[in-house]
Amino acid sequence: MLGGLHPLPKLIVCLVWIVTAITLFDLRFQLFTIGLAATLLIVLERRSLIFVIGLMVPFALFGMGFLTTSLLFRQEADYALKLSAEQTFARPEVLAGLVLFFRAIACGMVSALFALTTDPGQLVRALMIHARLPATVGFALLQALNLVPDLAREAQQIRLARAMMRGRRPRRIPGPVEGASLIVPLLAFAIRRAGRAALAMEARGLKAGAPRSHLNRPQAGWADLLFVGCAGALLAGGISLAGLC
Amino acid sequence: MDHRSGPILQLIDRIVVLDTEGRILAEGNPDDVFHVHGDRMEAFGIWTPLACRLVRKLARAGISLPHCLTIHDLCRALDSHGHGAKAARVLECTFQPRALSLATPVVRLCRVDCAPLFGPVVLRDVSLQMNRGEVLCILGANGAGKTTLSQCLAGLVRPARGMRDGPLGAIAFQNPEAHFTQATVLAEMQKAGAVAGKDLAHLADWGLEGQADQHPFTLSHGQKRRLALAILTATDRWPVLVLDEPTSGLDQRGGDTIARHIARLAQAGRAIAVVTHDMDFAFTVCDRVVVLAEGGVVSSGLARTVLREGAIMTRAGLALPAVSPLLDWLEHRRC
Repeated sequence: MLGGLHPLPKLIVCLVWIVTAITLFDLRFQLFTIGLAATLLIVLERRSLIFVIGLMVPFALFGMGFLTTSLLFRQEADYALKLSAEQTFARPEVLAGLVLFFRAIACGMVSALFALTTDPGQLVRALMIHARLPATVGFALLQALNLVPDLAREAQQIRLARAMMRGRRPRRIPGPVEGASLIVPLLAFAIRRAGRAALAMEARGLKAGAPRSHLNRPQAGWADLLFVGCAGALLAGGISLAGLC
Repeated sequence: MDHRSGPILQLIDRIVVLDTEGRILAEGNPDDVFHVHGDRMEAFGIWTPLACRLVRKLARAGISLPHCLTIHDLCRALDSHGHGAKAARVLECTFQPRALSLATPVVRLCRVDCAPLFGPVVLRDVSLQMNRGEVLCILGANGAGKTTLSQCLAGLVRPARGMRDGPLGAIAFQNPEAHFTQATVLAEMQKAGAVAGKDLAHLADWGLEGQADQHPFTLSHGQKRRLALAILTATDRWPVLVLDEPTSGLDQRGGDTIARHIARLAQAGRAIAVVTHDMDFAFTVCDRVVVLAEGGVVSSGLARTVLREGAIMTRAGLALPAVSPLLDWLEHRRC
């Protein structure tokens, strides 16, 4: 559902939310952000609870670093301790660590929500049309977006071809020797693919400043306005929740 | 720019045909180009519409018809020029299905769910078998799961559910370069297990004897495809062969060559599966067809029957073969 929105308002909302989460040193706001992002993913995007919990794991590991730092090295976390001392319901060093821990998860979840609901190609196109991203950079990014799945497909074909010659199925995950043996053919493939992309971009007269039309332009509409309005209201609600105590 | 114009022929105003040296062979509106230069284009191995090819074939059999660009035009011309009976005989011979001996199963899939190596299940509850000496066509729109099914059929990817019974097969991948690991074409044959002395003869079978010392990556696209197939057929190691889009990027001559080799390999007793979008190629080379759509098999049966089922083809997002109206015409005459 969120995937149908214009990428730029969504990007701006997510950036504003992340900046707020970083500057607002409050545990309730961080928890509110995590809960909201998880709810949107589960309810609107039909992601499973396990998927959402799994998504939090890398951000939690990152946040764990902040938590241990604030508990074990209090001198270094002096600023955080000072801020958390203003909040009364836990020991300052624990609270500071918890806020930093959940802040990492909250920022990660907002980023993940944006990444999972945005078509990267549409985002690049929107940046070219509305944010003056140079066409040379934009089309290079679009090519890079295609190159990654192409490389994965090519790698899989080479692995299957080799397994076929050996007379057995390929291992699910390639071992270090097999992985290393894929580097040269994949590099050769990537170079040839990049050469073709460069020719295609050259053939399309891809120079800066030239007037350019776009197919599949992302269109902003009422849904985007509604999204920005709701997000603004929720953000204001989250901030006031933090300011209550 | 394309090897064939196919369904967009009616939209084309002007055609420029290049020969193998890059010189302009013919130029003008499609009607004139195919009418006036059709024979020369055929000699160069360049695609001409099926109707033009059939008109030329009928002319060689002594049946003179006006120039036709589409099969519908050809049917009308056959009706109005009074050569119906004789033309029908020639055409019946042209589209005669291959006689198949008793089906001996080589590979069986029994209620399998197929998923790519790192992906979710894309096909559910598929049951089918590949028989010795038979050419099976796997049809479906983009993303229907043709490549995934072909990997399951060859046994290179284990089914997510269900059972596969049969020996390991080989796949000729869409990108033939995935097969190449050696510095010369001859070395590829030797690596594939071709017996010394017979390797050059095998290359000659595939029209590659002149390229034996060349690096595989320097071959043309058609030659690369043939080399990949030559590698896979150098020994009797694989009784099952899956060809993934064997005609993509090939000209008419390249496609005809592949079709000839497929028929030869089937005759030699291999079980062959062809994954393709080219309905006319499927009609020409395949005995049996499996149509994939909506996450499973929506139809399977004899190619002659399934390929003419308009409702099934529409459901699978496919077009009928160009030859369809002519087969209807032949059937109508028989009645």
